[in-house]
Amino acid sequence: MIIFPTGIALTANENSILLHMVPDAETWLSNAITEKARLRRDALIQEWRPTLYADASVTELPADNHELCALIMARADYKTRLQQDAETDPVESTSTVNKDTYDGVTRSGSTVTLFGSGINLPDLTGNCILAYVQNLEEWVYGALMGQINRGKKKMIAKYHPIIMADASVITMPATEDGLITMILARADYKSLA
Amino acid sequence: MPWKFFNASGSQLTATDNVTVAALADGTDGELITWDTAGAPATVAVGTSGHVLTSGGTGVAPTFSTIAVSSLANGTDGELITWNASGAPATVAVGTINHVLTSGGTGVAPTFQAAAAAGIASVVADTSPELGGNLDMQANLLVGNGGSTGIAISVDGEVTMAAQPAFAAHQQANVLNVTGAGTPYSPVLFPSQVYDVGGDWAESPGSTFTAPVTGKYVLTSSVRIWGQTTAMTYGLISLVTSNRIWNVYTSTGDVSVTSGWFISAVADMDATDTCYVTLNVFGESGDTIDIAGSMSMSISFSGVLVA
Repeated sequence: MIIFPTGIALTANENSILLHMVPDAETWLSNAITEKARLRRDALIQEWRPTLYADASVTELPADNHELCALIMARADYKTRLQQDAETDPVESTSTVNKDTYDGVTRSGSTVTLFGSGINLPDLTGNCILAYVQNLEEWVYGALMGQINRGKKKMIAKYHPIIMADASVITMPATEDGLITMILARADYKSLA
Repeated sequence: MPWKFFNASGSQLTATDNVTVAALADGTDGELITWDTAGAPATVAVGTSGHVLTSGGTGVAPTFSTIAVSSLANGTDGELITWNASGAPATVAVGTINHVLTSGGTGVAPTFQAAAAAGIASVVADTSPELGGNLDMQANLLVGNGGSTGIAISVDGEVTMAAQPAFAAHQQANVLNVTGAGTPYSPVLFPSQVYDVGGDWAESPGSTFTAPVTGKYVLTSSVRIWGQTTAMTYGLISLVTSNRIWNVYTSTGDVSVTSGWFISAVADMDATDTCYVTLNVFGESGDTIDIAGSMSMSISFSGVLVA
């Protein structure tokens, strides 16, 4: 399955903040998705194992985690997270909080696009995550904006004291984005990566 | 018939007369002459190079052998034998208790000295090291993977983890008409950050916590509302994590008081999962329910990684 078919646009500062935390944003995000899928696959198997053991119609189980996961998903009593939420009373609405956070940033001028051709995931990888997560893109937005927020806070926490101690700095920007731009322009700026 | 020996003048020699070495019968290279228990001449077998001739006592022929410790001259209790730079035997002086023998290198006699206090350089090679007693970290930290922050233990046993992900935030202002007729107030906003260890809390715009690592997180939230009427059927406060939603349903409305609702969970969160709070009140004719902000922490959201 392909998510974000036209990529994920970031401001230049957002991209620099990501690179403050990780050497390569796309690699980091790809690895995060892969790891999330692995964790959810293992959790799914663990949750379903007692049911499979108790089901007399199941006479044998595959010895491969991926195949076992596929077997679980093929069962009539299996439901994705979205299907489960639709059946609750009251119905759990689909969250858009992370996308709203992403959309809340104005991205005009210089931007950087991650995964210009989209993120192509093996179906099982995506489906393992969707066993627990309502929407893959919403989850990715959350991961991305969380990492940007973390990078921004760490960058400011590190450089604010440096700027305050720098006698050559008379004033500093009063906005977070302005401060980030100022930090990135400093000769002594170094990313954590 | 026994042999008889005569000197140059033709006189017969007696047993007390000298016999020259040259007059002896030929023998084996390296052997020695001795006498056996019958008093007859006998030979001592050729020894091994470096061995010394050792008496076997009366009735036992001497033999070449190594030197027994008991054969050494008496010395001083606790001394050791060495050889000096000339190759002559010498002694190593008696050391102090618990001192260890330390080489002085070529040309310098070894001596007993206190053990070096360098301690254990590394236990990396030991895949299952064990302690025979308490591990006292003093004022140092227990860190991992080359990190510089970690676990500290005070002299009284208090354990602190200064970099353990944790956050707390609250809402000081009133937020009007957020729910009531089933419209979710999502996310509940907590714009005033109290602390944020690790930078994982985003107070705005979404008041969202993003898990930095996979683990179990204790998450708690409380909200205080007002404006409810007897029309209210129930309320719902939720911790919305990526993997699941944790819900607490509240009772029907009571117009005489404001309501304080609380939710907590030990949530399974994977790295980069998010969590925020939602609030939903049902039954009112419109979204007339307000969040009652406070300088206290009555409208709050907090969490910490516990496992």
